[in-house]
Order: sequence, then C-alpha cells, then structure tokens
Amino acid sequence: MFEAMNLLLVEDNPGDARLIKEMLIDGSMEQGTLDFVRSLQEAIDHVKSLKIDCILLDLSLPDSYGIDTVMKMRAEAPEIPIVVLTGNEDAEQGVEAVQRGAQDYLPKSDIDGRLLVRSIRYALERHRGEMALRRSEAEYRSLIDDVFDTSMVAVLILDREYRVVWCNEATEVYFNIEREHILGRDKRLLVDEELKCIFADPDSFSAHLLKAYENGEFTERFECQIIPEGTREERWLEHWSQPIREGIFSGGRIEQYNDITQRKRLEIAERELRDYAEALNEINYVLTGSLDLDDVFEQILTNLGRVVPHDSASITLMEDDHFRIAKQIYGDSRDTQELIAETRLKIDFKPYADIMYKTAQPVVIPDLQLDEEFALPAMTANIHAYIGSPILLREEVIGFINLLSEKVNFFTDTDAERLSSFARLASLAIQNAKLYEQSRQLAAHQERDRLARELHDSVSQTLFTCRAMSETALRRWHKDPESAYELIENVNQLSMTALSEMRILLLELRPSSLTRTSLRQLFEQYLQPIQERREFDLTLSIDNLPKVKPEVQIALYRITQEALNNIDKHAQATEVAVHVEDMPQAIRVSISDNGVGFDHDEHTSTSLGLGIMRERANEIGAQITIESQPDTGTQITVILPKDITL
Amino acid sequence: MTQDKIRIVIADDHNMVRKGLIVLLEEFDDVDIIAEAVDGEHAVGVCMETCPDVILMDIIMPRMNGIEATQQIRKTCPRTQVIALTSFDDDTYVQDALKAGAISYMLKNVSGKELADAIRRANEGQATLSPEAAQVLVMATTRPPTIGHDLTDREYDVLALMIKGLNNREIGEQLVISSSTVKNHVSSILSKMGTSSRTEAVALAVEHHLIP
Repeated sequence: MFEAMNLLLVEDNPGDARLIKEMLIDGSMEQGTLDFVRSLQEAIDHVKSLKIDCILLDLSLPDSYGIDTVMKMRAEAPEIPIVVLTGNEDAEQGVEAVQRGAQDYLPKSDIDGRLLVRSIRYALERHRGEMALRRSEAEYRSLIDDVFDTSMVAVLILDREYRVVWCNEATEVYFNIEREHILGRDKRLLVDEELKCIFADPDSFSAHLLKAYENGEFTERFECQIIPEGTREERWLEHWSQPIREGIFSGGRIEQYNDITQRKRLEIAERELRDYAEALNEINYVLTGSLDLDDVFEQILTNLGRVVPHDSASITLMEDDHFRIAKQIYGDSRDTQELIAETRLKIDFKPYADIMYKTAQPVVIPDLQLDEEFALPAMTANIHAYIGSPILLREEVIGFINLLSEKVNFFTDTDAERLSSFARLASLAIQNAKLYEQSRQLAAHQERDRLARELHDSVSQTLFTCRAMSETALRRWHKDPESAYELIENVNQLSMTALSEMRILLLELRPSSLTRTSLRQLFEQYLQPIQERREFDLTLSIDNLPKVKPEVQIALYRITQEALNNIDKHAQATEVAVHVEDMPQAIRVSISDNGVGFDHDEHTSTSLGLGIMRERANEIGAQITIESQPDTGTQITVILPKDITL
Repeated sequence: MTQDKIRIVIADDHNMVRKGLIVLLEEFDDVDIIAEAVDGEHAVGVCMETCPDVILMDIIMPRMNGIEATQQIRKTCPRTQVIALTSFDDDTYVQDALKAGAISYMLKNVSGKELADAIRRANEGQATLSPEAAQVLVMATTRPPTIGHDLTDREYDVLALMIKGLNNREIGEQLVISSSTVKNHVSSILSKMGTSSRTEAVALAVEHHLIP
C-alpha cells in the first residue's frame, strides 16, 4: 500500500499534462492529488500555500527555461523533491538538473506510468534521506559553531601539526585577536610571535605550553594573566590543554581557557585585605612602641607606604588656629625627593585641610595641577594626585596626613578608607606620645622640686649647723680653746653627715648607682644621716648581706625609705629601730618605732604609701607585714626568701 | 641683768640645727634661749606657755609648718615677734611668712652676729630682711608681671583643664560652653602667656605653678 501523495505538475503544454495524468493513473497512483500549473511563478505560489510532496517540473516554461528553472524552484522549496521532465531528449540537461538538486530526470518521450510512479517514489525516499542527513549535519554544525562559539570558555582545536582548525568567539575576545588571524596558524608560532606577549609572564606561559605539546602532556589549571592594553582587558585565565586520541583530529589537541578573573580578583582583594590588616596591626605595634613624638611621626610616615603607596608624605598639625608641618618624608621617587630636598618645599595643603577640618573626611584630588584654587609652586610639575586624611582625636581634628603621587588619578576611594583607618592609629600614637611628653615634663618639674626640698631639708641644714658651730668655735678659740675643740669635733662629725646626705641625693639623681653599692652600704648611707639629724633615737643593726638582684636591692631600699619617711612625718616617735638580718633562709628587714601608730581603718593605705610598699614587696617575691595600732607604734617587717633572690 | 635678756624660743625639726643655734647664740649675753620646739604645733604650745619675746621659726616642719604656726602665734601671743629662719628663699615663702605676721625673714646662712642683731631689732619691733629675702621682695614688686597674671578666671579654668589633657570639645563639655568659645579662650591664653602651642602653654603653666 502506498500513501497518498500530493503532486504538483508544472507544465505549460496541456497535452503533455493530460498525458502525464493518465500515466499516473496507469501507474496505479489512484490515491492523492495532482495539481497542475503552467508557469514557474504559479508553481512557487502553489507550494507556498499547499502541502506538496513532490514537484514534476518541465524545464521549458513560459517564465523560465532550462536548468535555471530547477535552481529557482529549489531555492523556493528546498524541502520538496523535484523530478525533472525534459521535453527533448537532452540527457545532459537532465544530468545537470540532478547535480543542481533535482532527484531524478525523465525524458517525456521515454516514460510510462510505472516508471514515472517509481521515479516519484524513489525521489521521495532519497529526498527524505538527504533531508535527515542535512538536519543532522546542521545540528552538528550548530553545536560547534553556535553552542561552543557562545561559550564563555575559549576553545581551540589543533590538528596534529598544531594548526588551529577551530576556535570560538571567546578566543577572539580574550586574546583580542581576529579569528581569521588565528585559524590555520601553527599554535606554537602563534604563541611565540603574538600570544605570549599579552601575558604577564610571557616566557613562563610559552615554556609551559610548548613543553606540554612536545611531551604530549595534559595541561591542567595553568593560571595565566592577560595584561590590559588598548581594548584588551585584564583577565585571569585558567588554561587546559589535552591531546585528542581518536577521530580525524587524532594527534591534535583540544584547548580551553577559562576566565577566572572574578575569582582571582576576589582572591587578590582578600589577600590585600589580609595584608592590609596585618600591616595595620604591625604598624599599630610599631607606633605605640615609641613615646617620642618626632619618632612617632617618622614611624607613621615610613610605615604609611604599606597601607597606601605614594611618592611623598607629610603630617601637618593644627596648632590652635594655624597649620604646622610636623614632618615630611619622601618615598622612593627620586624626582620628588630631590625636588623637595633642593627647594625645601613645604606645602601645607591648607585649602584641603580646611575642607577636611569641616567634614572630618578624607579628600582625594586626581590632579593638583588642574586645581585652580590650589596653586602649586611652579617647580612641582611632577606632582599630580593628592590624598589627605584628617587625624581625629576624640572627634576633634588635630592634624592631617597628606600624600602625593606623581601619577594622575593615582589614589582611590579604598586608599581614602585605608588612610583614614591609618590616621586613627596615628592619632592614638600621637596622643600617647603627647601625653607622655607632658607627663615627663610634669614629672621632671616635680622631681626637681622634690630634690630641691630634700637638699634644703638635709644638706643645707647640716651645713648651717656646721657654720654656726665653726663660727662659734672661732670666736671661742682664744678664750676657751677646750670648748672650741669640742665644737670643731662637732663640725667634723656634721661635715661627714653632710657628705652622706649629699651621697643620698646623688643616688636619687642617678638611680643606677642605687644598684652599684652593696645593700649594706646602701642602708648605712641612708640611715646614718637620719640618725644624726632626727629627733628620735635610731638603733641600727645591719648584717653583712649576700649580694641580691638590682631590682630587689632597689625595692628593699625604697621600702625602708618610705617607712622612715612615714615615721618622720607622722609617727612622733622617740625611738626607731632598723634591723637588717641575714638569716639562713631569708633576708629580714624590720623597721619599728614607738610613735603614735595608726588605725588601719582610719588611714587608707594610699595616704601612707603602704600600698606602694606592699606592691614593691610583691614584685620581688617578698612577704611584708605592717602592724600598727594607735599609740603602740608601728612595726614593718619584710622577709625576702633567699631562694628567690639568688 | 636677767630681766633685760631677750627671751627666745627656737622652733626647728632638725635637732642638730637647734643645737647649732644654741651654740651660736650662747655667745650673746643679751639673749636667753628659754625653750625649743620640734614642729609648728609644738611651737604654738610652747609660745602659749612661755610667751617669749622672739621665736626663731623654721618654715618647713612636719605636722604644722612655720607659716601656719606664725599666724597662730601672732594671734595667741601678739607680744611674741616671729623671725622666719629657713633655708628657702622662694618668693612665695618670703611673702607668705611676712603676710602671716613674721617681722623678719632670715636665711640659714646668717652669722651669729647678724642673727643676734635681728633678734634685738625684732624685740624692738623692727624688721630685718636677709639680703636674699629683700631681693626677692624687690623683684616681686619691680619685675615684669608673672606669667599668666592677666588671665581671666574663665581662662584659668580652661588652662586647668588643658593641663589635664582635655581637648577643646571636652573642655567645652566640662565648662558648658561651646568648643569655639573654648578655642577663643585657648587662643587668648596662648597669646597672654606668649606661647605658640598648647603643649608649651601647659608646660609653662606647670612650671610656674599657675594652677594649684
């Protein structure tokens, strides 16, 4: 059984047409339809509106003749098989018609019904086969040309001679080279002559690729960076290349370049952030490590490059209503360095400082040369970009950090952010150093005052007494030599006291000498003058003592000093005893008096310096006991275990 | 004639100084040391008991200093003349001692004769100043005004807070004034003190004890 077919007969000769119709019926093609048109144009219109399975085409039509007729018909209806009917017996025209896409040709004079029907059926079968093949080819081509071509992965196929036989659009985009320029070229030469120089490290790129080619190896995840130039963008690629084992490209290679720019940028950004955090941390350490203001400025400026690269940097400080350049440092750039050195150029960036003062925000200027408000000196033609950040201390602007670059548009918003956080660190360091400076000045004044008081309180009293005695001795010299002699003895004793007192004061002036004398000597030096000049009787016994660590020596000395000061000022004692004993396991220092004592509740320990005494004892691992009650005197005992001291 | 002798008390916390003074004054027949005191409190008590003609008063002493003791003695025993006898020649000590009622100010470098003369004059109600003390007083009246003398009370307040290390905003908060007002005060303080920076002003203020 045959299916029903819709045929179109294109024939201008009605006689021939009738003949063919009869032949078809003859050839038992009773099912289906046969439409009949007289011209090519009618035929074209017909196939557009009706479903036709096969066209029977006469080549001699009123509006078309010969092989042209086949070509036009094919062009209009490529999906419909054509069987050509030739009027004359010109076999050549028929063959040509088949070459141009007709399925078959039949000389009219030579056909019968059976032949015609069979020819039509074969034509249909063949045409279906061809169509199927063409569709699969089209699919394949589309897979290659359309699908791979739109891939974001650059793909290249090389034949066994390393010639590029195919590459996609991504390849053109990534390498910024036209496809025509790549196709057919030997990839090895292409790499050497053109490709490698667009990569950040050309030699390692080409070496890596060529080695893999030579050894027939896989290349996996080879990361390479394309440097931007002109319309070519910066790009990070991950390269894969592998030999093809089978098929017509066997011995060739398939290669791909994945764009990993985004991932890479994230990685780089993250690494930069980490580096930045580390840098800040280290800088913080460095900055807070110094208490000298000038040194702090120097540290700030030398470390700043790790956070925001620049060619030169300066710090200006707000001093009440004006700006003062506190420090300038010039980076690696010779030009700027020399320029500043030669001209002693000091730019205070006042207009920007004014803005920063008001907004408390950083300022970024792409090119100072273009800023008409800010007139740079003429010799500074190399200086372009500027970035500044206010240094804030408790929300108040105390100064500015200014950076310059020789490159236009060099500083970014990220730089601005970083500079601000750096400025915050700097502000802490500056504040730290300033407070230290102030406290040092204060301490120096207080120390001077204290020493002056000590001097008046000890040596000058002794010397005054010396003078009184010697003056009197002179006056009595002749009339009462014996008494004069006694006075001179006194004077002699007093001058020794004065000497000891001077030594104690010198100890205070040069604390290092506290550790140079032995502990016993130290106690003697300190206590003997007190014995001389105070109201109370001082009993003093000091054993020969083993050598102790300097900090232990200082602590014991200070504790004793503090205790005797207390007795002097508050105790109203008549008897004081200081014993320093060398015991088998420990050194024991006891200071006792018979004065008014104190009530632990009444006197906070700070007012008597008891807290400080305890602290000092704890620091050296000594035990301290302070016993006192009103009217029973005070006893302070320090026990220093020897195993700790030695 | 015992009645004619000038009755003296010595107040000094250093016993060797008292010893020295006794030795020094023994030479002079017209002075009689009737008692010693070891601190200010003691001196006040001794004066109340003995009512001496003259007391030699050290200034720096424990428990009660010589200035305070002088004030009290002038109140309780107005007949007793006080001679400040000290090793300090600070202008504040000299002025404070005289303000407290001391008739004379002597330094502990006097000779016995000078001291005896001063005691005799004090007994007659006449003042003696050691050359150093006189110099200090003259300087105080003739020298250019002390640093910070022209600061207003408000400026003193601001300066005190500057010394504590506060910034303008914090000073403003403490004194309940705007920070721009503080800024004006600071500028004025700097110019009055003749300094060019805050730190310098603070250092100078500390050095000259402008703020107690």
